[in-house]
Amino acid sequence: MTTQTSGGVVPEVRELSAEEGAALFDKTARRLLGIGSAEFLARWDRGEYEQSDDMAVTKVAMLIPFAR
Amino acid sequence: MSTGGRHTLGRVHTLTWPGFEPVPVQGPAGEIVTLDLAIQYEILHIPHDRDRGPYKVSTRGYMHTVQTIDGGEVIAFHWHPAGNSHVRDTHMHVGSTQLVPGGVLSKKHHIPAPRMSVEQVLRFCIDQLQVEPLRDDWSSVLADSEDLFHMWATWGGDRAPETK
Repeated sequence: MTTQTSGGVVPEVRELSAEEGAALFDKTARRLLGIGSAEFLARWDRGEYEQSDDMAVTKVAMLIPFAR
Repeated sequence: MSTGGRHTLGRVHTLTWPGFEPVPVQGPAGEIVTLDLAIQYEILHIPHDRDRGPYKVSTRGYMHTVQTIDGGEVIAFHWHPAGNSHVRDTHMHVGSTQLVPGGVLSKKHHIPAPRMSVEQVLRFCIDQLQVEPLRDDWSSVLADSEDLFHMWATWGGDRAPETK
């Protein structure tokens, strides 16, 4: 959804449901790392990504609030 | 935004483009680059702060990336203090599409950089990368928003990020 303004089109901010957020997180983890959300979160919680400089990991981690 | 991102206290939220898909923008010669933005934030209840209270939004991290249309990174502005990396300060990465084999820099290098607001990233894209703005008054619109950002920001420049 978008909003017309005097100067153009501004997308509206939409709050995802828990289910939609979980789906987005899972899809992104699979696209960037080739693993599902449950596996990523388990590895994250075990500290397996500590000291990792993999930008794909950092990108997926940015979306953790969508998953829990 | 993530669930509860408009009102829930006590947890970190994420705001990004729909589907976490980069948004295409057009350069002066018609070439397309994409802009990937993501911010983590927390809503704080600060009733004792007469200037900023009773609620404020505090940034907890960000990743803003300019990419080629096929996903190759051009430049990225990062701050992810709670993340996996050992680098906790604001920094930038030069993307692999801008580097040469055997060069001193690689995309893994964390180059110190100031805090970058979304407005500053957009201004950088228009001013420096000649991305075509959608509106003629883009500069004043960004300036108004930047003024608000600086008015409420509690860190950046020579001020360290706030700690809870």
